[in-house]
Amino acid sequence: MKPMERRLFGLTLVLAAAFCLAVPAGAMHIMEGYLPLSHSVVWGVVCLPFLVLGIARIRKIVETHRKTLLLLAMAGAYCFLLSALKLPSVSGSSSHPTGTGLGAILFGPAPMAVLGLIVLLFQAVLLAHGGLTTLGANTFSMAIAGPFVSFGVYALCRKLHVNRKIGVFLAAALGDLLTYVVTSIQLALAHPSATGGFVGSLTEFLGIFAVTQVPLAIVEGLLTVVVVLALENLARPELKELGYLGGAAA
Amino acid sequence: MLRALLGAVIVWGLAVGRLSPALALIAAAIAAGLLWLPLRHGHSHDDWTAIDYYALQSRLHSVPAGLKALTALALIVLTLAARSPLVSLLVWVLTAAVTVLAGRTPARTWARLFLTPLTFVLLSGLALLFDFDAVPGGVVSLPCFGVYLTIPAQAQTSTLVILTGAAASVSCLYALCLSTPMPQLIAALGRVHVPELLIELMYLIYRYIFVLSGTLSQMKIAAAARLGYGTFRRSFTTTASIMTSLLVSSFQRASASFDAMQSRCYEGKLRFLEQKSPLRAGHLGSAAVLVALPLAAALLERLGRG
Repeated sequence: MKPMERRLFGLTLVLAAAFCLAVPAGAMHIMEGYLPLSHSVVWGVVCLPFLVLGIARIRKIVETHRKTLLLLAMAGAYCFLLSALKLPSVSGSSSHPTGTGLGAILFGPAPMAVLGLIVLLFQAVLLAHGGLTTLGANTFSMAIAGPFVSFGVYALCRKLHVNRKIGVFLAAALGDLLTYVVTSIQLALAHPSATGGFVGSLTEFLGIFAVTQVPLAIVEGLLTVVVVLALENLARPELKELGYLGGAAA
Repeated sequence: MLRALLGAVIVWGLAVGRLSPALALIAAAIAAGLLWLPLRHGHSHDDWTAIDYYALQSRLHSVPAGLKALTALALIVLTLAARSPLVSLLVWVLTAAVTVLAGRTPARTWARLFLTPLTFVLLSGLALLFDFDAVPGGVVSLPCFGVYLTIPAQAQTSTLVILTGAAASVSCLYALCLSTPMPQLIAALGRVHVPELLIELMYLIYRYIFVLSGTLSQMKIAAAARLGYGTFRRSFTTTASIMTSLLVSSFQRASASFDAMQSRCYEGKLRFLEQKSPLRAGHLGSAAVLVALPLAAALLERLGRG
């Protein structure tokens, strides 16, 4: 490297590190008032079928297994608290695991949509992460798109007999990445750039948030692997209750 | 600090080409100072229970939750529909005044809470404001890796609208959540016939958040005391094992509390005693004024424009 290049490299490194340090937890929640009204409504409506499906699904489980409701509630509280759990990251940023991949693998994607909606509402009201009018958009990216992809990847890996660890890692990491891509798309759709239009705006949003979200996805993927493996040893009866091992044993 | 820097860049980007260069720089400096100050002084109170705590302390605690929620939502919708920095400013001032003067939330707490979501605004403000272009154009063009980083005049206007609108809406959200404890809000949702399953899950999750958060903070302190976050590798293992044992213990707790509930005749329905908060004419009147003022401003502005 020439001295000039080396200096430039150093400068960009420092900048990248500074950005990681400063972006607070939950940076990917679209905040209150950030989307135009029409977008808020549309995203909310898009979520509805998934929520109806999720509620029906939970109701069916609960009819036979009343206890599962409490397990789901605990899982919801757990998801909420994960945002208080600092995730280690290369630059010491305070991003946190989302737990959506883990939830999708354990409970299936449809119940996760309902849990996600509640958790996002709580995060909006108790933490002011996200907001009420953006609840629909956030639910779609974090509680619907992410978990459904996680679950799909996980199921696909099982069918193809991919190593379990790799399957879980891919499911959680890809779910996380997709959440971030969907959020960027939502932002770009809402605020296309004056000259570049939707695509120009999308690349900008993707670029700005990539700094935190890509390392986060990898760390979350690794974490989920460790947690899922440990859970299989430690919480067999509860997992059976949730129907996780019933499917996985086959 | 980065927040202050970002704020300065955004304010400068909004002002450049409209005010004289010196004024734009001064505005940027003031923005940086405002964003920098509360950070230096306020003690860190980033505990997630802060909002819950102040909601229970609020003087507006006894106003019916449904009215508070409706007013806040109406104001947010009004702000977003008006798309006018002036209306946003009015809503921002009104809701901040309600929170601090009527609700008696300490002004400093409010300011610190308000700054938290601001980083997101400022970061995405960068994307809104700047554009990459092959040719220089707009009010500013900076050469950057073979293309130009430009600020189109059009983007200045729309960014100003979006950022002020977002700030006003966040202020509305805070006015709601700093005056309404979660159980009140859940009960209000139940009254408008949100599915019972959802309501029940909400109550349980709200309760379990507190239960689990005690366990979690103990685990975190224990881990930190044993240098569990010493290195990157170690903090990874620590986080993983905390995540696991928290989930396992939460499952076990769910089992235990199910047994406890069943032995107390739980049949799938949770019933709570609710404090009655009657709707008073005064509440209704102030809510109406709160919505009417920005509405009138928005209409007047539209008339003036057309």
